[in-house]
Amino acid sequence: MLQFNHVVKRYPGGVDALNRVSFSLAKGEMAFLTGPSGAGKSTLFRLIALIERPTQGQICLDGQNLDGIAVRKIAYIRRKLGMIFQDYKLLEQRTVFENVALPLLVSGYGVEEIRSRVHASLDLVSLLDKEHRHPLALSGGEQQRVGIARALVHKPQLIIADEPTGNLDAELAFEIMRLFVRLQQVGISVLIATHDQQLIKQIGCRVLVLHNGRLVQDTQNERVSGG
Amino acid sequence: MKHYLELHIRAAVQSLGQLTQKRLASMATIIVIAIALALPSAFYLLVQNLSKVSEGLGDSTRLTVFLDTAVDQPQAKKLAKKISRNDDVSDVTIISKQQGLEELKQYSGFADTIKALQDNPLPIVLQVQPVKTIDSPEKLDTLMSKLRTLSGVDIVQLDLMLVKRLRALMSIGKKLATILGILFCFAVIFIVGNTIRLELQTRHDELEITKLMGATNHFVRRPFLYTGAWLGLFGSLIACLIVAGMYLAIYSPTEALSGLYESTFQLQFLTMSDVGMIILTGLLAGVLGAWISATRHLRQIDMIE
Repeated sequence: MLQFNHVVKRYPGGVDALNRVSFSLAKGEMAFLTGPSGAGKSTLFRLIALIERPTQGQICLDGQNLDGIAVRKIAYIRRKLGMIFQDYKLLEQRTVFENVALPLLVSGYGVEEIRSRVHASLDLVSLLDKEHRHPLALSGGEQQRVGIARALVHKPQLIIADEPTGNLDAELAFEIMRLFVRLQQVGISVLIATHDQQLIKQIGCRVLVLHNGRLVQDTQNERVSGG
Repeated sequence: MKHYLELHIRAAVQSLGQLTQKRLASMATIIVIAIALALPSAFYLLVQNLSKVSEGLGDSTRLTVFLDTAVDQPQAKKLAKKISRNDDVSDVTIISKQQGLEELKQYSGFADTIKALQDNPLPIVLQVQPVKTIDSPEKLDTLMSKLRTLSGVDIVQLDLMLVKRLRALMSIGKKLATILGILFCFAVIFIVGNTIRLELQTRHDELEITKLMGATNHFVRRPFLYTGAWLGLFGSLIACLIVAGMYLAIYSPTEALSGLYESTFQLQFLTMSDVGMIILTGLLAGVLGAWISATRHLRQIDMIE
Protein backbone atom coordinates (compact mmCIF):
# COMPACT_ATOMS: atom_id res chain seq x y z
CA MET A 1 0.00 0.00 0.00
CA LEU A 2 2.72 2.46 1.05
CA GLN A 3 6.36 2.20 0.16
CA PHE A 4 9.29 4.47 1.08
CA ASN A 5 12.51 3.77 -0.84
CA HIS A 6 15.62 5.60 0.43
CA VAL A 7 13.64 8.78 0.94
CA VAL A 8 15.59 11.92 1.80
CA LYS A 9 14.02 15.25 2.67
CA ARG A 10 16.52 18.06 2.90
CA TYR A 11 15.40 21.57 3.83
CA PRO A 12 17.25 24.74 2.82
CA GLY A 13 20.31 25.09 5.02
CA GLY A 14 21.26 21.45 4.52
CA VAL A 15 19.14 20.00 7.34
CA ASP A 16 18.09 16.41 6.58
CA ALA A 17 14.63 15.96 8.11
CA LEU A 18 14.56 12.44 6.68
CA ASN A 19 17.68 10.49 5.74
CA ARG A 20 17.36 7.46 3.45
CA VAL A 21 14.19 6.19 5.05
CA SER A 22 12.90 2.91 3.63
CA PHE A 23 9.92 0.88 4.78
CA SER A 24 6.69 -0.47 3.41
CA LEU A 25 3.21 -0.83 4.82
CA ALA A 26 1.03 -3.59 3.43
CA LYS A 27 -2.70 -3.33 2.72
CA GLY A 28 -4.55 -3.73 6.00
CA GLU A 29 -1.40 -3.29 8.06
CA MET A 30 -1.19 -0.99 11.06
CA ALA A 31 2.01 0.57 12.36
CA PHE A 32 3.03 3.13 14.93
CA LEU A 33 5.58 5.75 14.02
CA THR A 34 7.40 7.00 17.05
CA GLY A 35 10.48 8.90 18.05
CA PRO A 36 11.46 12.11 19.83
CA SER A 37 10.32 15.55 18.71
CA GLY A 38 12.13 16.62 15.56
CA ALA A 39 12.79 13.03 14.53
CA GLY A 40 10.98 13.57 11.21
CA LYS A 41 7.52 12.07 11.87
CA SER A 42 5.62 15.15 10.68
CA THR A 43 7.89 15.48 7.63
CA LEU A 44 7.18 11.87 6.73
CA PHE A 45 3.43 12.54 6.95
CA ARG A 46 3.76 15.72 4.88
CA LEU A 47 5.48 13.72 2.16
CA ILE A 48 2.71 11.10 2.13
CA ALA A 49 0.05 13.84 1.97
CA LEU A 50 1.93 15.49 -0.93
CA ILE A 51 2.28 18.72 1.00
CA GLU A 52 5.99 18.41 0.29
CA ARG A 53 8.07 16.38 -2.14
CA PRO A 54 11.12 14.28 -1.22
CA THR A 55 14.56 15.59 -2.15
CA GLN A 56 15.65 12.07 -3.11
CA GLY A 57 14.13 8.61 -3.12
CA GLN A 58 10.75 7.29 -4.08
CA ILE A 59 7.37 7.09 -2.39
CA CYS A 60 4.69 4.76 -3.79
CA LEU A 61 1.07 4.78 -2.71
CA ASP A 62 -1.19 1.98 -3.84
CA GLY A 63 1.35 1.08 -6.53
CA GLN A 64 1.53 4.64 -7.82
CA ASN A 65 4.85 6.46 -7.75
CA LEU A 66 4.24 9.89 -6.22
CA ASP A 67 7.50 11.24 -7.61
CA GLY A 68 6.83 14.01 -10.09
CA ILE A 69 3.06 13.57 -9.98
CA ALA A 70 1.28 16.52 -11.63
CA VAL A 71 -0.11 19.14 -9.25
CA ARG A 72 -3.62 18.76 -10.70
CA LYS A 73 -3.57 15.04 -9.82
CA ILE A 74 -2.64 15.55 -6.17
CA ALA A 75 -6.30 16.00 -5.17
CA TYR A 76 -7.13 12.52 -6.45
CA ILE A 77 -4.20 10.95 -4.54
CA ARG A 78 -5.28 12.68 -1.34
CA ARG A 79 -8.74 11.14 -1.67
CA LYS A 80 -7.13 7.74 -1.01
CA LEU A 81 -5.89 9.05 2.34
CA GLY A 82 -7.58 9.71 5.63
CA MET A 83 -5.62 12.36 7.51
CA ILE A 84 -5.80 13.03 11.22
CA PHE A 85 -3.92 16.04 12.50
CA GLN A 86 -2.61 16.84 15.93
CA ASP A 87 -4.16 20.32 15.69
CA TYR A 88 -7.41 18.79 14.27
CA LYS A 89 -7.58 21.18 11.28
CA LEU A 90 -11.35 21.57 11.55
CA LEU A 91 -13.28 24.35 9.84
CA GLU A 92 -14.50 26.50 12.71
CA GLN A 93 -17.30 28.15 10.74
CA ARG A 94 -18.80 24.81 9.76
CA THR A 95 -20.78 22.37 11.89
CA VAL A 96 -19.49 18.97 12.92
CA PHE A 97 -21.65 17.41 10.18
CA GLU A 98 -20.22 19.75 7.53
CA ASN A 99 -16.66 19.11 8.68
CA VAL A 100 -17.06 15.36 8.48
CA ALA A 101 -18.87 15.65 5.14
CA LEU A 102 -16.00 17.61 3.56
CA PRO A 103 -14.02 14.68 2.03
CA LEU A 104 -17.26 13.32 0.53
CA LEU A 105 -18.32 16.70 -0.76
CA VAL A 106 -15.02 17.32 -2.56
CA SER A 107 -15.13 13.80 -4.01
CA GLY A 108 -18.55 14.44 -5.50
CA TYR A 109 -20.87 12.25 -3.43
CA GLY A 110 -24.63 12.84 -3.51
CA VAL A 111 -26.57 14.40 -0.64
CA GLU A 112 -28.16 11.15 0.60
CA GLU A 113 -24.90 9.22 0.45
CA ILE A 114 -23.15 12.02 2.35
CA ARG A 115 -25.83 12.06 5.05
CA SER A 116 -25.74 8.31 5.68
CA ARG A 117 -21.94 8.07 5.62
CA VAL A 118 -21.45 11.08 7.91
CA HIS A 119 -23.96 9.69 10.40
CA ALA A 120 -22.26 6.30 10.34
CA SER A 121 -18.85 7.90 10.86
CA LEU A 122 -20.05 10.14 13.69
CA ASP A 123 -21.69 7.14 15.30
CA LEU A 124 -18.33 5.34 15.27
CA VAL A 125 -16.74 8.13 17.33
CA SER A 126 -19.86 8.59 19.52
CA LEU A 127 -20.59 12.13 18.33
CA LEU A 128 -23.84 11.64 16.46
CA ASP A 129 -25.69 13.81 18.97
CA LYS A 130 -23.32 16.72 18.29
CA GLU A 131 -23.55 16.92 14.51
CA HIS A 132 -25.05 20.43 14.54
CA ARG A 133 -22.47 21.91 16.92
CA HIS A 134 -19.51 23.96 15.79
CA PRO A 135 -15.99 22.67 16.60
CA LEU A 136 -15.25 25.47 19.06
CA ALA A 137 -18.22 24.36 21.15
CA LEU A 138 -16.58 20.96 21.65
CA SER A 139 -13.81 19.81 23.98
CA GLY A 140 -10.33 19.04 22.60
CA GLY A 141 -11.03 15.32 22.72
CA GLU A 142 -14.34 15.75 20.88
CA GLN A 143 -12.68 17.88 18.24
CA GLN A 144 -10.09 15.16 17.74
CA ARG A 145 -12.89 12.61 17.33
CA VAL A 146 -14.51 14.83 14.70
CA GLY A 147 -11.15 14.80 12.89
CA ILE A 148 -11.09 11.02 13.13
CA ALA A 149 -14.66 10.74 11.83
CA ARG A 150 -13.69 12.97 8.91
CA ALA A 151 -10.67 10.79 8.15
CA LEU A 152 -12.80 7.64 8.07
CA VAL A 153 -15.89 8.88 6.30
CA HIS A 154 -14.73 8.30 2.72
CA LYS A 155 -13.30 4.83 3.48
CA PRO A 156 -9.70 5.69 2.61
CA GLN A 157 -7.08 3.10 1.69
CA LEU A 158 -4.55 4.55 4.12
CA ILE A 159 -5.05 6.51 7.32
CA ILE A 160 -2.20 8.66 8.55
CA ALA A 161 -2.73 9.99 12.04
CA ASP A 162 -0.49 12.48 13.79
CA GLU A 163 -0.93 12.07 17.56
CA PRO A 164 -4.61 11.16 17.20
CA THR A 165 -5.09 10.43 20.89
CA GLY A 166 -2.99 13.29 22.25
CA ASN A 167 -6.01 15.10 23.70
CA LEU A 168 -8.03 12.11 24.74
CA ASP A 169 -8.23 10.44 28.13
CA ALA A 170 -6.72 6.98 28.41
CA GLU A 171 -10.03 5.15 28.09
CA LEU A 172 -11.16 7.07 24.99
CA ALA A 173 -7.68 6.84 23.48
CA PHE A 174 -7.82 3.09 23.78
CA GLU A 175 -11.33 3.07 22.23
CA ILE A 176 -10.05 5.07 19.26
CA MET A 177 -7.12 2.70 18.88
CA ARG A 178 -9.48 -0.24 18.86
CA LEU A 179 -11.40 1.56 16.13
CA PHE A 180 -8.19 1.78 14.09
CA VAL A 181 -7.61 -1.94 14.65
CA ARG A 182 -11.11 -2.64 13.33
CA LEU A 183 -10.38 -0.51 10.25
CA GLN A 184 -7.14 -2.41 9.75
CA GLN A 185 -9.12 -5.64 9.87
CA VAL A 186 -11.33 -4.47 6.97
CA GLY A 187 -8.25 -3.80 4.83
CA ILE A 188 -7.42 -0.18 5.59
CA SER A 189 -3.75 0.52 6.26
CA VAL A 190 -3.06 2.73 9.27
CA LEU A 191 0.07 4.67 10.17
CA ILE A 192 -0.07 6.43 13.53
CA ALA A 193 2.50 8.85 14.89
CA THR A 194 2.51 8.87 18.67
CA HIS A 195 4.67 9.39 21.73
CA ASP A 196 2.38 7.28 23.87
CA GLN A 197 4.51 4.18 24.61
CA GLN A 198 1.83 2.77 26.91
CA LEU A 199 -0.70 2.82 24.09
CA ILE A 200 1.78 1.17 21.71
CA LYS A 201 2.31 -1.62 24.21
CA GLN A 202 -1.44 -2.01 24.71
CA ILE A 203 -2.21 -2.32 21.02
CA GLY A 204 0.84 -4.36 20.13
CA CYS A 205 1.58 -3.92 16.48
CA ARG A 206 4.46 -2.89 14.25
CA VAL A 207 6.53 0.04 15.49
CA LEU A 208 8.76 2.24 13.36
CA VAL A 209 11.17 4.40 15.32
CA LEU A 210 12.63 7.53 13.79
CA HIS A 211 15.61 9.32 15.24
CA ASN A 212 17.28 12.38 13.65
CA GLY A 213 15.56 11.61 10.39
CA ARG A 214 16.72 7.99 10.25
CA LEU A 215 14.59 4.92 10.66
CA VAL A 216 16.47 3.26 13.53
CA GLN A 217 14.03 0.50 14.46
CA ASP A 218 11.29 -1.48 12.74
CA THR A 219 9.88 -4.12 15.10
CA GLN A 220 6.69 -6.08 15.68
CA ASN A 221 5.57 -5.57 19.28
CA GLU A 222 3.62 -8.08 21.25
CA ARG A 223 0.40 -6.86 22.77
CA VAL A 224 0.51 -6.40 26.51
CA SER A 225 -2.74 -7.73 27.96
CA GLY A 226 -4.82 -5.84 30.49
CA GLY A 227 -5.51 -2.73 28.37
CA MET B 1 -24.89 15.92 -14.71
CA LYS B 2 -27.33 16.24 -11.83
CA HIS B 3 -24.44 16.15 -9.39
CA TYR B 4 -22.55 18.77 -11.43
CA LEU B 5 -25.58 21.05 -11.29
CA GLU B 6 -25.90 20.39 -7.57
CA LEU B 7 -22.29 21.48 -7.05
CA HIS B 8 -22.89 24.69 -8.99
CA ILE B 9 -26.13 25.48 -7.18
CA ARG B 10 -24.41 24.82 -3.85
CA ALA B 11 -21.48 27.07 -4.78
CA ALA B 12 -23.81 29.83 -6.01
CA VAL B 13 -25.94 29.73 -2.86
CA GLN B 14 -22.88 29.46 -0.61
CA SER B 15 -21.24 32.50 -2.20
CA LEU B 16 -24.48 34.49 -2.01
CA GLY B 17 -24.66 33.55 1.66
CA GLN B 18 -21.10 34.78 2.20
CA LEU B 19 -21.98 38.10 0.55
CA THR B 20 -25.07 38.60 2.71
CA GLN B 21 -23.07 37.79 5.84
CA LYS B 22 -20.72 40.67 5.03
CA ARG B 23 -23.55 42.94 3.93
CA LEU B 24 -21.85 46.29 4.40
CA ALA B 25 -18.56 45.36 2.73
CA SER B 26 -20.42 43.65 -0.12
CA MET B 27 -22.66 46.69 -0.66
CA ALA B 28 -19.63 48.99 -0.75
CA THR B 29 -17.98 46.81 -3.41
CA ILE B 30 -21.20 46.54 -5.43
CA ILE B 31 -21.70 50.32 -5.37
CA VAL B 32 -18.12 50.96 -6.52
CA ILE B 33 -18.64 48.48 -9.37
CA ALA B 34 -21.98 50.12 -10.19
CA ILE B 35 -20.39 53.58 -10.42
CA ALA B 36 -17.52 52.19 -12.53
CA LEU B 37 -20.04 50.68 -14.96
CA ALA B 38 -22.52 53.58 -14.83
CA LEU B 39 -19.97 56.20 -15.94
CA PRO B 40 -19.13 54.75 -19.39
CA SER B 41 -22.75 53.65 -19.82
CA ALA B 42 -24.03 57.18 -19.20
CA PHE B 43 -21.37 58.59 -21.53
CA TYR B 44 -22.39 56.06 -24.18
CA LEU B 45 -26.03 57.11 -23.76
CA LEU B 46 -25.05 60.78 -24.15
CA VAL B 47 -23.11 60.04 -27.35
CA GLN B 48 -26.00 57.97 -28.72
CA ASN B 49 -28.41 60.87 -28.16
CA LEU B 50 -26.03 63.44 -29.65
CA SER B 51 -25.73 61.17 -32.68
CA LYS B 52 -29.50 61.32 -33.01
CA VAL B 53 -29.29 65.13 -32.93
CA SER B 54 -26.63 65.18 -35.66
CA GLU B 55 -28.74 62.76 -37.77
CA GLY B 56 -31.61 65.23 -37.39
CA LEU B 57 -29.36 67.95 -38.79
CA GLY B 58 -28.70 65.75 -41.76
CA ASP B 59 -32.45 65.49 -42.43
CA SER B 60 -32.84 69.26 -42.63
CA THR B 61 -29.88 69.68 -45.02
CA ARG B 62 -30.77 71.52 -48.24
CA LEU B 63 -28.56 72.26 -51.17
CA THR B 64 -28.66 75.74 -52.63
CA VAL B 65 -28.05 75.75 -56.40
CA PHE B 66 -27.21 79.20 -57.85
CA LEU B 67 -27.87 79.26 -61.61
CA ASP B 68 -26.00 81.39 -64.14
CA THR B 69 -27.45 84.92 -64.33
CA ALA B 70 -28.18 84.27 -68.02
CA VAL B 71 -30.62 81.45 -67.15
CA ASP B 72 -34.22 82.67 -67.39
CA GLN B 73 -37.34 81.41 -65.57
CA PRO B 74 -38.48 78.81 -68.19
CA GLN B 75 -34.96 77.40 -68.40
CA ALA B 76 -34.81 77.26 -64.59
CA LYS B 77 -38.10 75.34 -64.50
CA LYS B 78 -36.71 72.81 -66.99
CA LEU B 79 -33.58 72.42 -64.93
CA ALA B 80 -35.63 72.02 -61.73
CA LYS B 81 -37.66 69.25 -63.40
CA LYS B 82 -34.47 67.55 -64.54
CA ILE B 83 -32.99 67.69 -61.04
CA SER B 84 -36.20 66.46 -59.39
CA ARG B 85 -36.07 63.34 -61.61
CA ASN B 86 -32.80 62.38 -59.85
CA ASP B 87 -33.35 59.47 -57.43
CA ASP B 88 -31.33 61.21 -54.75
CA VAL B 89 -33.59 64.29 -54.77
CA SER B 90 -36.94 64.46 -53.04
CA ASP B 91 -37.97 68.06 -53.78
CA VAL B 92 -36.82 71.13 -55.74
CA THR B 93 -38.05 74.67 -55.03
CA ILE B 94 -37.42 77.57 -57.44
CA ILE B 95 -36.64 80.97 -55.97
CA SER B 96 -37.02 83.48 -58.78
CA LYS B 97 -34.78 86.52 -59.18
CA GLN B 98 -37.61 88.71 -57.88
CA GLN B 99 -38.24 86.52 -54.80
CA GLY B 100 -34.53 86.57 -54.11
CA LEU B 101 -34.42 90.33 -54.30
CA GLU B 102 -37.44 90.66 -51.97
CA GLU B 103 -35.76 88.38 -49.41
CA LEU B 104 -32.55 90.36 -49.71
CA LYS B 105 -34.44 93.60 -49.10
CA GLN B 106 -36.20 92.07 -46.10
CA TYR B 107 -33.23 90.50 -44.34
CA SER B 108 -30.15 92.49 -45.43
CA GLY B 109 -31.09 95.89 -44.00
CA PHE B 110 -30.11 97.55 -47.32
CA ALA B 111 -33.64 97.90 -48.71
CA ASP B 112 -33.12 101.50 -49.88
CA THR B 113 -29.86 100.75 -51.65
CA ILE B 114 -31.43 97.72 -53.35
CA LYS B 115 -34.35 99.87 -54.48
CA ALA B 116 -31.86 102.10 -56.29
CA LEU B 117 -30.67 99.20 -58.47
CA GLN B 118 -31.82 99.43 -62.04
CA ASP B 119 -31.34 95.72 -62.82
CA ASN B 120 -31.81 92.67 -60.60
CA PRO B 121 -28.27 91.22 -60.34
CA LEU B 122 -29.38 88.07 -58.52
CA PRO B 123 -29.46 84.66 -60.19
CA ILE B 124 -32.38 82.25 -60.00
CA VAL B 125 -31.83 79.84 -57.11
CA LEU B 126 -32.98 76.22 -56.81
CA GLN B 127 -33.36 74.77 -53.31
CA VAL B 128 -32.77 71.04 -53.57
CA GLN B 129 -33.96 68.71 -50.78
CA PRO B 130 -32.11 65.37 -50.91
CA VAL B 131 -33.94 62.13 -50.09
CA LYS B 132 -33.51 60.74 -46.57
CA THR B 133 -31.02 58.07 -47.68
CA ILE B 134 -28.58 60.86 -48.53
CA ASP B 135 -27.67 61.09 -44.86
CA SER B 136 -23.92 61.43 -44.76
CA PRO B 137 -21.58 64.25 -45.76
CA GLU B 138 -19.97 61.90 -48.30
CA LYS B 139 -23.26 61.19 -50.07
CA LEU B 140 -24.13 64.88 -50.03
CA ASP B 141 -20.75 65.64 -51.58
CA THR B 142 -21.47 63.18 -54.40
CA LEU B 143 -24.88 64.73 -55.08
CA MET B 144 -23.35 68.20 -55.11
CA SER B 145 -20.73 67.11 -57.63
CA LYS B 146 -23.47 65.73 -59.88
CA LEU B 147 -25.41 69.01 -59.72
CA ARG B 148 -22.31 71.05 -60.53
CA THR B 149 -21.92 69.24 -63.87
CA LEU B 150 -25.37 70.38 -65.06
CA SER B 151 -25.46 73.10 -67.70
CA GLY B 152 -26.67 76.45 -66.31
CA VAL B 153 -25.51 75.71 -62.76
CA ASP B 154 -23.04 78.20 -61.38
CA ILE B 155 -22.55 77.34 -57.68
CA VAL B 156 -23.84 74.52 -55.51
CA GLN B 157 -23.62 75.33 -51.83
CA LEU B 158 -24.18 73.57 -48.54
CA ASP B 159 -22.79 74.39 -45.18
CA LEU B 160 -21.55 70.90 -44.45
CA MET B 161 -18.95 72.00 -41.97
CA LEU B 162 -21.32 72.01 -39.00
CA VAL B 163 -22.60 68.52 -39.83
CA LYS B 164 -19.08 67.30 -40.54
CA ARG B 165 -17.70 68.73 -37.33
CA LEU B 166 -20.56 67.36 -35.26
CA ARG B 167 -20.18 63.90 -36.77
CA ALA B 168 -16.43 64.00 -36.24
CA LEU B 169 -17.11 64.87 -32.61
CA MET B 170 -19.60 62.01 -32.40
CA SER B 171 -17.01 59.64 -33.82
CA ILE B 172 -14.52 60.78 -31.17
CA GLY B 173 -17.24 60.48 -28.54
CA LYS B 174 -18.08 56.91 -29.57
CA LYS B 175 -14.41 55.91 -29.49
CA LEU B 176 -14.01 57.62 -26.13
CA ALA B 177 -17.03 55.72 -24.80
CA THR B 178 -15.47 52.45 -25.96
CA ILE B 179 -12.11 53.32 -24.38
CA LEU B 180 -13.80 54.40 -21.14
CA GLY B 181 -15.85 51.20 -21.20
CA ILE B 182 -12.72 49.08 -21.52
CA LEU B 183 -10.86 51.05 -18.82
CA PHE B 184 -13.75 50.80 -16.39
CA CYS B 185 -14.05 47.09 -17.19
CA PHE B 186 -10.46 46.72 -16.02
CA ALA B 187 -11.43 48.72 -12.94
CA VAL B 188 -14.27 46.25 -12.24
CA ILE B 189 -11.90 43.30 -12.75
CA PHE B 190 -9.45 44.91 -10.33
CA ILE B 191 -12.13 45.75 -7.73
CA VAL B 192 -13.59 42.23 -7.80
CA GLY B 193 -10.11 40.68 -7.89
CA ASN B 194 -9.07 42.66 -4.83
CA THR B 195 -12.25 41.78 -2.93
CA ILE B 196 -11.76 38.10 -3.71
CA ARG B 197 -8.06 38.32 -2.78
CA LEU B 198 -8.96 39.63 0.68
CA GLU B 199 -11.60 36.92 1.03
CA LEU B 200 -9.06 34.27 0.01
CA GLN B 201 -6.56 35.57 2.56
CA THR B 202 -9.07 35.43 5.41
CA ARG B 203 -10.11 31.91 4.39
CA HIS B 204 -6.60 30.66 3.62
CA ASP B 205 -6.63 27.94 6.33
CA GLU B 206 -10.04 26.72 5.22
CA LEU B 207 -8.84 26.43 1.63
CA GLU B 208 -5.73 24.55 2.70
CA ILE B 209 -7.79 22.07 4.72
CA THR B 210 -10.27 21.64 1.88
CA LYS B 211 -7.42 20.90 -0.50
CA LEU B 212 -5.92 18.42 1.97
CA MET B 213 -9.26 16.61 1.94
CA GLY B 214 -8.83 16.07 -1.80
CA ALA B 215 -10.55 19.11 -3.29
CA THR B 216 -9.52 20.03 -6.82
CA ASN B 217 -8.75 23.63 -7.73
CA HIS B 218 -12.04 23.74 -9.67
CA PHE B 219 -13.93 22.84 -6.52
CA VAL B 220 -12.14 25.42 -4.36
CA ARG B 221 -12.33 28.15 -6.99
CA ARG B 222 -16.01 27.69 -7.88
CA PRO B 223 -17.62 29.61 -4.96
CA PHE B 224 -15.24 32.52 -5.53
CA LEU B 225 -16.18 32.66 -9.21
CA TYR B 226 -19.81 32.85 -8.15
CA THR B 227 -18.95 35.61 -5.67
CA GLY B 228 -17.37 37.53 -8.55
CA ALA B 229 -20.40 36.86 -10.72
CA TRP B 230 -22.81 38.06 -8.02
CA LEU B 231 -20.77 41.22 -7.42
CA GLY B 232 -20.63 41.92 -11.17
CA LEU B 233 -24.32 41.15 -11.65
CA PHE B 234 -25.58 43.32 -8.77
CA GLY B 235 -23.10 46.06 -9.69
CA SER B 236 -24.28 46.13 -13.31
CA LEU B 237 -27.95 46.10 -12.32
CA ILE B 238 -27.40 49.07 -10.02
CA ALA B 239 -25.36 50.75 -12.80
CA CYS B 240 -28.42 50.47 -15.08
CA LEU B 241 -30.58 51.98 -12.33
CA ILE B 242 -28.09 54.86 -11.93
CA VAL B 243 -28.17 55.53 -15.69
CA ALA B 244 -32.00 55.33 -15.64
CA GLY B 245 -32.03 57.86 -12.79
CA MET B 246 -29.75 60.22 -14.74
CA TYR B 247 -31.96 59.79 -17.84
CA LEU B 248 -35.12 60.62 -15.90
CA ALA B 249 -33.44 63.61 -14.27
CA ILE B 250 -32.54 65.25 -17.59
CA TYR B 251 -35.51 64.06 -19.67
CA SER B 252 -37.80 67.04 -18.97
CA PRO B 253 -35.13 69.76 -19.33
CA THR B 254 -34.01 68.19 -22.63
CA GLU B 255 -37.59 68.11 -23.88
CA ALA B 256 -37.99 71.78 -22.97
CA LEU B 257 -34.73 72.65 -24.80
CA SER B 258 -35.82 70.63 -27.81
CA GLY B 259 -39.12 72.55 -27.84
CA LEU B 260 -37.25 75.88 -27.90
CA TYR B 261 -35.52 74.74 -31.11
CA GLU B 262 -38.88 73.57 -32.52
CA SER B 263 -37.38 70.12 -32.75
CA THR B 264 -39.15 66.80 -32.33
CA PHE B 265 -36.01 65.35 -30.72
CA GLN B 266 -36.69 63.04 -27.78
CA LEU B 267 -34.07 61.77 -25.37
CA GLN B 268 -33.58 58.03 -25.94
CA PHE B 269 -32.83 55.50 -23.18
CA LEU B 270 -30.53 52.50 -23.55
CA THR B 271 -31.96 49.72 -25.69
CA MET B 272 -32.62 46.29 -24.22
CA SER B 273 -29.49 44.99 -25.93
CA ASP B 274 -27.47 47.86 -24.38
CA VAL B 275 -28.81 46.94 -20.92
CA GLY B 276 -28.06 43.26 -21.64
CA MET B 277 -24.54 44.19 -22.69
CA ILE B 278 -23.91 46.18 -19.47
CA ILE B 279 -25.14 43.27 -17.34
CA LEU B 280 -23.09 40.75 -19.33
CA THR B 281 -20.00 42.97 -19.09
CA GLY B 282 -20.40 43.30 -15.32
CA LEU B 283 -20.93 39.57 -14.95
CA LEU B 284 -17.94 38.60 -17.08
CA ALA B 285 -15.65 41.20 -15.51
CA GLY B 286 -16.66 39.92 -12.06
CA VAL B 287 -15.97 36.30 -12.97
CA LEU B 288 -12.67 37.19 -14.64
CA GLY B 289 -11.49 39.25 -11.63
CA ALA B 290 -12.39 36.41 -9.28
CA TRP B 291 -10.77 33.80 -11.52
CA ILE B 292 -7.47 35.70 -11.69
CA SER B 293 -7.32 36.19 -7.91
CA ALA B 294 -8.41 32.66 -7.01
CA THR B 295 -6.05 31.04 -9.51
CA ARG B 296 -3.09 33.05 -8.24
CA HIS B 297 -3.88 32.19 -4.63
CA LEU B 298 -4.38 28.49 -5.36
CA ARG B 299 -1.09 28.42 -7.21
CA GLN B 300 0.59 29.63 -4.01
CA ILE B 301 -1.11 26.87 -1.99
CA ASP B 302 -0.15 24.28 -4.60
CA MET B 303 3.50 25.30 -4.54
CA ILE B 304 4.87 22.11 -3.03
CA GLU B 305 8.61 21.77 -2.66
